[in-house]
Amino acid sequence: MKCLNKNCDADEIETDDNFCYKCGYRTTKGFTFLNNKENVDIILNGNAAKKDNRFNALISLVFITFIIFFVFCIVRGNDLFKPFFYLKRQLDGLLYGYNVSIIKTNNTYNKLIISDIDDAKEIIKKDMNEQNWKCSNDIETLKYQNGIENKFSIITVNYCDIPSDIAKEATKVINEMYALFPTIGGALTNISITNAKTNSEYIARFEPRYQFVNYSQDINKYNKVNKTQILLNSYYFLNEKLMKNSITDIVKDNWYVKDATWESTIAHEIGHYISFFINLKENGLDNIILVTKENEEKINRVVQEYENGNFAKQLISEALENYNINYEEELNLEEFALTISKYASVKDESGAIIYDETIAEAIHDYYLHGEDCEKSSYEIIKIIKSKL
Amino acid sequence: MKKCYNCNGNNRSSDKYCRNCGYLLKNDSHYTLINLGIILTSILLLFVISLFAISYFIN
Repeated sequence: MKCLNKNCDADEIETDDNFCYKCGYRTTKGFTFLNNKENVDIILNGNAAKKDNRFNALISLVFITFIIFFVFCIVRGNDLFKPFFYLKRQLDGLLYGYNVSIIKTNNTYNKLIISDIDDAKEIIKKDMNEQNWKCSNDIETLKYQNGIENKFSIITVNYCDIPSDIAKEATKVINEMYALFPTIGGALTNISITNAKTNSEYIARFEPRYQFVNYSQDINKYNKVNKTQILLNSYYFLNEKLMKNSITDIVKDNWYVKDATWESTIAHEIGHYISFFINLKENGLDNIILVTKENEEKINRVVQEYENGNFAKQLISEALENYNINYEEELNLEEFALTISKYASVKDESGAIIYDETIAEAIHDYYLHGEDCEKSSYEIIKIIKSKL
Repeated sequence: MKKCYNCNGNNRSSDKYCRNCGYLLKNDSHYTLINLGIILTSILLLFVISLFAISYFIN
């Protein structure tokens, strides 16, 4: 038998079929079948009909879930996702056996149009602001962080997840350093917690130039942005238990200057920054944040000069000369550096003293002991102060 | 042979509609997917609500 639907070509309909197997159109028998209300009720209350209602329920549930999620996003903003990062921190803690930072300080950006110094500062700030919401909102820590950021014109300070008492000590060091050397503001772009490549790599570290934006681009097409930063190793600064032990537990005796603490190593790093800052100043630069085709060569030269240590050696030689005259001594450069600390006379792979470490340790000594620091440190400080 | 999920009527395996009740003959997996969808969406809804509540307790 053929289907009653003119558009259907089904021709295998049996005489007792109620509907066409191909298009679902009722047959002659189906017409009678549908006239019986009981049959219609059976169809409408069948298993599949009930399941189809569940499909409608699924659609409604998806819709409601989406609306609720959207409303929660509006109400809580980024804070809605904080539990994820809390969980990530806990898992990382379990995985590594110590707390690690959620902040990335090695982001780079490419092909960005940077017109002026304000654009450059804005992108440095934005990079950190976009990560800050992942950190815990410890009001005390945030207070210290924002305090030094505003006070010393450092573009961003990121104490993310640092316990407040450690943040307090770190802030104290920074405050005192800027009080001892009030004219050093403007070139340091970041102070931030970071994950070092290895735990023992450093406690804190000064990085004179981190090529941040457009570093691989042609300077004729894109201006570049550098960061000058002090990085705090999360292995120490996020693990309070570790920092409760003395710093001499991890470094050799007399490695740093006398009375050095975990936090005072920041003074050492600011010492490197001061040395770099003087180098910039003597070359007529305020900072190396914005690199244009006009100043690229000069910036490269100044950074190179700082890194090869000639400037530091010259400064130390001058201080040594004054020291030997003032105290009637005949020390050489190595002996002079050793009077400060072992770290002050540390050598590179070629066996040459790293004079920038001598300067940083002298400043570290001056931070800890003021004018009662080693006489050698003070000779270095006198020259530094005259150059600032 | 294909059994109608709605009325249990017998149909040929090539049929698209049930010869007895006219219902579109769907695979069993279709209904399994709906059930699974409802379970997963309910879990998602509970998860979103929990996330919202927990976010107030995490600093």
